Amino acid sequence: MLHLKSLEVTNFGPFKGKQRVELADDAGVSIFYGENMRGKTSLLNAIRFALFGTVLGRGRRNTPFGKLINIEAQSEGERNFEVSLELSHAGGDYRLTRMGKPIPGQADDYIATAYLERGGHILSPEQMAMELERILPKDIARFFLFDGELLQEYEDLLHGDSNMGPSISAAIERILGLPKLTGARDSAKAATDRAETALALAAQGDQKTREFGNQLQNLAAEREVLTADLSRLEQELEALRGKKAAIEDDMRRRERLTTLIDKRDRLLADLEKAEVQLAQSSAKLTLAMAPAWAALIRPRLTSAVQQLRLREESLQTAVTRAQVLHSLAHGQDPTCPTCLRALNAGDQETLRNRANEAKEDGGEANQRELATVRRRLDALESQLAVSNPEALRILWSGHEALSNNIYAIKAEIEEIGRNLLEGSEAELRGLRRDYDSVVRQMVVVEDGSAKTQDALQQNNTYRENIQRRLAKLAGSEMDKERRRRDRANSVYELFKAAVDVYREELRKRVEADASKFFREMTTESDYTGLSINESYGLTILHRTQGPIAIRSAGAEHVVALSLVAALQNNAPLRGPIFIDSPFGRLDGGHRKRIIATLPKMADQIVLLVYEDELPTKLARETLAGDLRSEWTLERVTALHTRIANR
Amino acid sequence: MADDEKINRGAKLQDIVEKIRAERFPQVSRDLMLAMLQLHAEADRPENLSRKVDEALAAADKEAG
Repeated sequence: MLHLKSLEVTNFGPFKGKQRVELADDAGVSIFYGENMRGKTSLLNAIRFALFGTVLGRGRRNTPFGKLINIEAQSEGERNFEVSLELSHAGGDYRLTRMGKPIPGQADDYIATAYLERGGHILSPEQMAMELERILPKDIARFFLFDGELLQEYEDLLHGDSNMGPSISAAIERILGLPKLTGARDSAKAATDRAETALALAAQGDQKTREFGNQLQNLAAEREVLTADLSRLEQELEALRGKKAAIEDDMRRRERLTTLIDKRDRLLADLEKAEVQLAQSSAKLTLAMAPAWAALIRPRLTSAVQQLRLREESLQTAVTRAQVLHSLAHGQDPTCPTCLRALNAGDQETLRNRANEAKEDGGEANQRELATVRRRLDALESQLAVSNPEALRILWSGHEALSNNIYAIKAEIEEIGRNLLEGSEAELRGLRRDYDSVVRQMVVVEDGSAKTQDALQQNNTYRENIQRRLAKLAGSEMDKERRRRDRANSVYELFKAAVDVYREELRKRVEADASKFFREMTTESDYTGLSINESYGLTILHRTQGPIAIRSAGAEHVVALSLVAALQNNAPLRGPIFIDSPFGRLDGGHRKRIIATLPKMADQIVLLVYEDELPTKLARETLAGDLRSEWTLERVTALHTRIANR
Repeated sequence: MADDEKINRGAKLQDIVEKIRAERFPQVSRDLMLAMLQLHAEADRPENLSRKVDEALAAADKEAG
């Protein structure tokens, strides 16, 4: 079992000068408290740097070594930084030291060198590499050194189309010790192939079987080429999957940026439409504005129309009256239209005199004036109609609304532009192009791989056919080689079957243990456990509803911690767990239960937390006798943190 | 977890292989199976693995006569 006994950092990240932390030998939990920007992640990175010679920055990108030296120390003339770990593993004591120093002549470029002492003796670089691989292989480090971002990745195990999933599954099988079986299986396969080549050579030595021997050897040579091709294609595919996963990861992190760019593109389309509408509205307004001057004289026009209407009415009355008089004065047996009395000749004479007087008074003139008044009324009313200020107001208001909308869209586009960092958009578009290109390459490689597999299958069929015919032609040397081939093949079949059985066994064990830890850690009593898929992805099970398809980020953390605990429980290789800010997304209830469960997850647990995330009182009460030590990352300056024992 | 429990889990892998061997591949000797497992133990994997595997197979041939 791996145990970290001490950590010493010199001018690494925010840790200026030499600072040393001794960790307890007994099993339990150690806690480092530090607010944001005090160096919790740097401490995790110091361990990563010492063990693997890499440091992860934001977004899981490797950080250049030149960025790791303490800035204050550097400004005071220091050039090197160093991390040293004291470890115990499988009964041996180790001291691992890795330092970074500038490459001569290139002050900004750093190189890292390391040495490993075992029992006080410095090992050769080759021995060091082997020992470190034995102590803690880099590809399973994710189960020992992790943060919330890394825990979130386990969700990928639930998605068949994810590219991160297969590499995590492989790491899980690695920590669970499956490579012991897969290695034996692959070695037995290679031994079978070698035995088959030897069999072909033996067959070539005999006159009766020479032709079969030649064919077998040719097929063996072809198989070798095909196997090498397949292996190369699989490596290419693996590299492409990794690249795709990295691009997806990058794109996920830039999700906000993507949303902003998409929104801006939508706004630009809206702006284009709004500008077309504005142009149409302007054209309508131009037309409507031509007679707009008439609106200025509208009150006078209205008054003139009113006067003319009155005049029209009085003229109409006069004209009608004259017409009635005329018809009574000259008609046969006329009757008064008012009292219906029949008029006599005397009455008609009087009426004729009156009509003549009226004629002289201007009866015809009235008719002419009435016609004139009506023409003027028509002209004035049509003028009033085109000078309608209400319609103009509606047009103006629509035009203004469109203009305001355009201003608002432009302002929003400008705001988005400010949020899009310089070059970030081009980078994102580049990422999308790269993604498409990787997907296209994957299709080509997958196609090539499928064809090669077909060819290998065909090669296998031919070989089996020849071997069957060869088996009938016995020869002592051939018999010996055939027995060897058959034995190697039986060993291969044995381990192939064992891989399948053991993999299934592991899945059951991980599912059972993860469920147990999950029930201990969750506050939701209706969740009864977790179910595992082929890739070790875990789904929460509800008491009555079965699998819960969607879960929150907080639930994801609880599930991921359950998986890590189950893996630790089933791994042949065990070691300390370092967790950076693990409780940020968890409520108080879950936090408390997880803290109480931590001592069962591994013998040595180191938490890097901020005070609000894990209050000291809560940690002390919950962990009680399992709490080994407490440290504070104290601010000296913004660029200098001191590690102080509490 | 106690160390002996881990040893049991390690032993379980061997038990699984042994069970399959005994039931389905009795022609593979137990010694050969154990030798293969030993050669592929992650921490102690030898550099000349192929040769060691061939030697284990040859030893099994010899034993089988």
